[in-house]
Amino acid sequence: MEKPKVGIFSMSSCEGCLVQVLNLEDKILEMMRSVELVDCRLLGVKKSYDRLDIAIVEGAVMSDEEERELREIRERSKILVALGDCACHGGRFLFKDFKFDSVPVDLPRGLKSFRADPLDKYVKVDYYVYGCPIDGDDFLRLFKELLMGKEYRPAPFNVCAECVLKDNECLLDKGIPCLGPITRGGCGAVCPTSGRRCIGCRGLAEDANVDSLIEIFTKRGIEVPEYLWELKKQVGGGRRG
Amino acid sequence: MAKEVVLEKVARIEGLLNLAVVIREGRVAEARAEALEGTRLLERILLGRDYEEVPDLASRMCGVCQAIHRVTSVQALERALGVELPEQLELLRELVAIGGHLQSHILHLYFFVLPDFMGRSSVFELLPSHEPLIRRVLRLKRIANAITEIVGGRAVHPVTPVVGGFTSLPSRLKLERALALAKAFRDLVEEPVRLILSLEAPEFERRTAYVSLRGDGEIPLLKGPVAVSGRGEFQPHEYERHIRYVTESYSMARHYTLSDGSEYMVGALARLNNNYHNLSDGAREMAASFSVKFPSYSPFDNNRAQALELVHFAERAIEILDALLESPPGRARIGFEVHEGEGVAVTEAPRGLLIHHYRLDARGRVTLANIVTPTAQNYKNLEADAREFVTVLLKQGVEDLERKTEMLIRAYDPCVSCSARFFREH
Repeated sequence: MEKPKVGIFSMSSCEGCLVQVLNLEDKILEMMRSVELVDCRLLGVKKSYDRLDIAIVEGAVMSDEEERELREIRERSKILVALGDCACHGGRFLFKDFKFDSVPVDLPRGLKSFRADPLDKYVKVDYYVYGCPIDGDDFLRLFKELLMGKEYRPAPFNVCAECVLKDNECLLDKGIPCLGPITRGGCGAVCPTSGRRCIGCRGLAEDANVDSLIEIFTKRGIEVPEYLWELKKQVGGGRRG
Repeated sequence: MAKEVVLEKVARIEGLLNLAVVIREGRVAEARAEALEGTRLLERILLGRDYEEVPDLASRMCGVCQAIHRVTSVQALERALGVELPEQLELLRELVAIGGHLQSHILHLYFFVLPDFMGRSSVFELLPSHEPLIRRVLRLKRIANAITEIVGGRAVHPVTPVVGGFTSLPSRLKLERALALAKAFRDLVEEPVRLILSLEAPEFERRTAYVSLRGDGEIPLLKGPVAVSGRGEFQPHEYERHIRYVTESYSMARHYTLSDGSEYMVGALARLNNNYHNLSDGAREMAASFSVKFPSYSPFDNNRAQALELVHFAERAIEILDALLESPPGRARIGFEVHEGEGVAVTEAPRGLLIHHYRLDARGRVTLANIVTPTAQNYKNLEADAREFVTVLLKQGVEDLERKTEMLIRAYDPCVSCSARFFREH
């Protein structure tokens, strides 16, 4: 059987998610036995090919050129995977209350305006690997399931689910503005486990209830940040579509 | 007639970069390092945010050298708030930085640089002939990440360093484990480093100003005055008087020069040119056995300098861990009061001098943020090197001009993502 052809591409990003993939170390070598990597600028792989079985794309779309490139990748790929928060959500968890159109910028290279868009604003995305950065084991799981022809499904639960299993002390109880309750888990609650509040890098959990988090913040005397009110307007108590 | 050669989206570097070279009458008239990566407005995102959020956001500058971005932002905020750490916590911070340097240098030297010298285009093509070596460097990478993880909580975007210290400290058992890892790294790295030192780089020299932190008996990563070779030193908070940026319509990044408009180089070569006498014994012996000498004026020697740093910083990590096990840190985090203030931290990222500068209001909200990355500082020097190097290649009539020029770019270990920021404050 012919090995599935894989391409790895970057839009605007810090390439930290690809570094996470490289951090799988020996496991990458094993993975490479099952697939044929035909395109990856970061690693210097550039073979000729027409069609891709799997395109892995990290980064946000920030220019017309990137938008064009993304559309081309989509056209020649059977499966397109958005890798990391920039590709999944345009890296929005960093911005939160920040409105793009109010930013004064001198844009070089003939750019007219600032944008940082998720891939699915322009093309159909088949699978999402969440996080900033992604978790290497998540990526590995996606890969295995694709090779076995199974449907990959990211963790549907929130960060608290894993935090509780680790017996961590709740940061909200200490008055720390942790976003764990509304944030998609699967990261092993890495930040709260190190005593850091969750900053929401995997986007909203499937049953995220922003109303309830605002209530928790208020009850515990934590100042409700501006972006939570903004988020409430968008999703209210229910999940985001 | 002028001819323009454009090396597009150069492979095996971090981020998207074109190098355009304009050739007129057999000479290079102009070279442009064009950063293509979308501008990320990180300084704008930081405005108005609470100082506690800054390290999480600032580490997102870069996926390769996020550890040092986090540590540098924390140090700049500590300057602003007048926080001074006990020595043991400073040592732990240095350890986080070292873990980042080791993994970054391994990635650059063996995944990005080595294939060029072996006539291959990627590390996978090296696999059939060099599998034991590749497995060894993957193991070294894993060890470097494990050291960062023990102290920083996570290998990519570490989470524990915060203003005033750390959110939590590694247990004695974990420090012992880190020591064993550092020793294993030191042993395993010997052979791969010898390989890099033995490679024959293209012959090319061009003297420039080398800018790095300078140390007394050490190669400092997190403190010290900034040395400008041949011109003296300045203190971190004075940086704006000594370097300045220019905006180029072709690049998403700011390009930096010294205050007189001349280009300069930062990175491992600059560090060793300014601190060669402080190399650890093991690293110095290896340099001697391959007749590698500093100061060196060949940008290609940045690779050799990184290789020697792998040995040096592994030995430094062992020293730090011995000291920490002998006298462990007491508290994870010291107390401080939030007040108005301004602070600058200058550190050494794997790719060179890194500056974070913040101003806070009375509630600890950011009112000014400025970040100067190593690659942004190197662009003008890369352009100057490319002009001269390509002119030499044209004179020699070499056939693989593009490949050799790419090797020059790669020697700088550019990190385009870090550098691509374009934010006007008014």
